Amino acid sequence: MDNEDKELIEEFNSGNKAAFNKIAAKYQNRIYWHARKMVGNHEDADEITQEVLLVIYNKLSSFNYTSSLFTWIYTIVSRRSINLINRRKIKNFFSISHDEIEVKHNFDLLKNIEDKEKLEKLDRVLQFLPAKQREVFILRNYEELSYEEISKITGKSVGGLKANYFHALNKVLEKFNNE
Amino acid sequence: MNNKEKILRYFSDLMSSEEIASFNDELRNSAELRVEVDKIQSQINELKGLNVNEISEIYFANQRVNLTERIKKFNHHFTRKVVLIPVAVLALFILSRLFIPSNRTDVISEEFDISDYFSLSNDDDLNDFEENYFPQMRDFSTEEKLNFMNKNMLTNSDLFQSIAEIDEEIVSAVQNKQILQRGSNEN
Repeated sequence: MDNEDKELIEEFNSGNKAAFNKIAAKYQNRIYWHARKMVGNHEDADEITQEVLLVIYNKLSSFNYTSSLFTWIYTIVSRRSINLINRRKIKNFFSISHDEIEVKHNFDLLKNIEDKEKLEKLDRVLQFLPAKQREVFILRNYEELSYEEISKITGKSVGGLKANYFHALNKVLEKFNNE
Repeated sequence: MNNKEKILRYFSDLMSSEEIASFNDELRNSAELRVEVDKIQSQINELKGLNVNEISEIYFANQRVNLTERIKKFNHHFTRKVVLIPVAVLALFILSRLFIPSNRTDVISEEFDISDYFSLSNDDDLNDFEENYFPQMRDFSTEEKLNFMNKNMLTNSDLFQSIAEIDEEIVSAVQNKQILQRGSNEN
């Protein structure tokens, strides 16, 4: 485990709540962007980021060092994101009319037009994937994690993750070629 | 297996070491396969290039303010629960002691008041009794009423039993009362 993370956790547990701000500053960007790629819009990503930081604040004292802080945090982000995606799916399934399907405002804080276009294109490609395939694709391609690290985050077997990645890559390349 | 599937398996790390060795041989010998691999590799690189991972610091600064508020609210709700739950349990305990009647039967003779039976008003149950006996007992005292009923063998009668809330236990308590024995002696 990262020594800096260990020191910050110990500082936090000894009563220095300001140590949490340092942890938040270190991971908030990655938390947000992972959530953002998973859920496809800023509003939901913002909500997930806040929830994750709140969980970290409340549960850090019971963190037991069986994984790295990074893995622990990403596990929380991953679960929250997939739960939200599933809730959204159920909600849309039971909507009476398509007009009632919730449209999230895609209020982005990107000023750079090139970045906005890139993100829109990425959203179109990623939202095409089922949640579990999307997750492994994002963690492998954008976080550049090994299958073993992804397995610790998702709780899935390495073999299963490889199969998921295979199918995700196939679909993504097809979609990408049609864009 | 077609070339595309082989290439995707290769990039997904799904191949065994033998399969990789065989694939590498094929790659060396097939220009077509090399072209396809390069094409897919460049598409993957293009996808990776779509990665955006920077956002304005102002967003996170604002978010920390919101988070601080949420933490305060969470702690406030948590403290309320920690205080309120034991208070609620204590209040329920006190109320249960005050309002749930005890099931003890040994106090009947002390707590029982026969005059309650004559003041209880359940018109339907008392119809027969009132019609037949009440006019005679209207001006009786409680003791006289009891004596009258005892004398007229009414305590075992259906009429007496039909009075609301009279049951065998109460009837025997009535019969055990000194008051009845005094009454019957006098008669």
